[in-house]
Amino acid sequence: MNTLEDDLRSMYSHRADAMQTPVVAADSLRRAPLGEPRSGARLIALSAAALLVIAGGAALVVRQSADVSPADEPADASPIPEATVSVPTMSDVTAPRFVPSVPDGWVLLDVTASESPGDWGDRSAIYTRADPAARLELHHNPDNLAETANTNAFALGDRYGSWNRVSTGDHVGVSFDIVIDGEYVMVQGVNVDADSATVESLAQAITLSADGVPVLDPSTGFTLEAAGVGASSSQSLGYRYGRADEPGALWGVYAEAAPDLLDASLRTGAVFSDPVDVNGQRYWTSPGGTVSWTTGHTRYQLDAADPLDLIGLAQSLRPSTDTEIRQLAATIGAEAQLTASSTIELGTELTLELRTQGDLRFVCLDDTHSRACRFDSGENANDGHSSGYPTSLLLGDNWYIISTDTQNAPPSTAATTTSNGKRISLIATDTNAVRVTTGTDSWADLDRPIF
Amino acid sequence: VDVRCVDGGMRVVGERGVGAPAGFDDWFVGVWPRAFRLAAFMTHDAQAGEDVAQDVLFRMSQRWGSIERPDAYLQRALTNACRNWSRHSRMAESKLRLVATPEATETAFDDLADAVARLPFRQRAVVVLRYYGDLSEAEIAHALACRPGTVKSLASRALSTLSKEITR
Repeated sequence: MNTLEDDLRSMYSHRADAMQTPVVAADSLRRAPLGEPRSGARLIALSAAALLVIAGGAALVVRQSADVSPADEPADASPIPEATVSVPTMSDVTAPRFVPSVPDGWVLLDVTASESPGDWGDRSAIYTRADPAARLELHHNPDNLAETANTNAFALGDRYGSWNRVSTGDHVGVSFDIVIDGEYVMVQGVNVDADSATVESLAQAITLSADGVPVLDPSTGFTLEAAGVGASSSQSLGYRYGRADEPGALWGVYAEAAPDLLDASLRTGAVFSDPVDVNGQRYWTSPGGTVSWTTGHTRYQLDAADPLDLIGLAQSLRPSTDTEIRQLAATIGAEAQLTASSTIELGTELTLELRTQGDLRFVCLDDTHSRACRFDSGENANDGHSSGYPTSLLLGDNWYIISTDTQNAPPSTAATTTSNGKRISLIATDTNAVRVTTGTDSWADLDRPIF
Repeated sequence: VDVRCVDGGMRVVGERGVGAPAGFDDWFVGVWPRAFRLAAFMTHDAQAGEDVAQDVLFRMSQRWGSIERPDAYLQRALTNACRNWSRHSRMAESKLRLVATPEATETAFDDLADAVARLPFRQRAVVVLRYYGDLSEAEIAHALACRPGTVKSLASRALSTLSKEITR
């Protein structure tokens, strides 16, 4: 064990010993349900919980909004006094609302109002299906949402307690469709502490073709753009969520409207190895195939020989030694040695190429004037996973930073710098997905070899 | 209160919390301190940790009969809840000090704890679950809903970052 690990264990041991554990009894936990407002966010949550009941036009009995911490409450304390609140009509509601609909083939079992924001969503609808073949599609449309909104869908059934989860929380401002396959499905609604004007979630049934391919209902308003055609401001692509080696991987249809969400588009494309029917057209990518689509005025193209290559290619972004770099530099362009290549068009004048030559992997950038590459021997491999170190390339007057990570994007705001940089992050995940983000941020870590 | 959808409308159908799920109380007594500390360390905020841990345990009490492996469920639920909390907390901006009593404060530990708090959430969660929770890679993978290999990767990057941070 090294010193840092010792220090971490010592720190937590020390801190844990020093911390005073709040006195909370199970009984008082139930009597004082969480969400008793301790902060502004919780006050909002309580208001929103009340708004849910507004839909039914019923008077709601709620616990008094006393600013009392459960920790302050003795275990044998009397129940908190209750108060009856008269609620306004639905027409007065402008806050986020969760409108559970009941798709054909499904039965709405329960709708609950959660007490706490920031947790698993604030309102839930639990469905079960009458038709074993039915799948549930959740369409989440966070209009004008300034912050993260979570709409989660859980496939329950016999795996209750070990569910699959699809959250839109990572896709701020993005319309997001997911399809859940389960005997029981719980859809948990938006976070009411998000600063949004209107957030709606609704569930719709999705049909399956005779061969089991999900068919997107055109009435949802999303369409898939054909290769090279980019007039629409939105597009949908089929994808599968979940690990390929696990049963229960989920089908879905991704749709987006924001022009700068290349990450989601590319991630979608990278796992686009199964078909989906949209508007009567079946789309898929077979090995060696090409998926290309447009977002706004920018066309993105991903050529993937095999989705698995993306992981290997992403690993190419690990740093290498100067000697290796220079030895390998001579091989750039040696097509005879090329064993795999993925190309991503980043705008009309910039192309990112991920290349593998035998055991050697590298990344290249091309603009209309020049080309820059750098290499990695993979000696820093960490159990087959990418290291997360950013690779920097200087092309023209711009820095381009390519970073790998299995989950987390690079910092959204890098250290202050005066360089006129751009940031590109390439993120490979265990689901063979790849995500590339571009931005105008500069990157603080520019001390790696550049050529 | 328990609000349910009845005939297309909402109405109060019962008082939540009446009656204790069998076995939950005894389990709760045993896990509460650890749940609180795990959440406090993952959120880097004692108050938030208390809130999150209580939220999770309250929900578990409602579902107690359906939960087969409560300890694993708790770790995963805590991790999810702390992640959600972190998304809203602006932690990086506020740079909260870790939940230490003044007399327990040690500069070296403060620096280390703050460095952990600046890690991306999943890396931070791995650090807390491994070095405070003493969980195995498989257990951490379940809590994070990822593969054990991903845990290794996250841990490696976290330690690398922390090494750089604390030597600056």
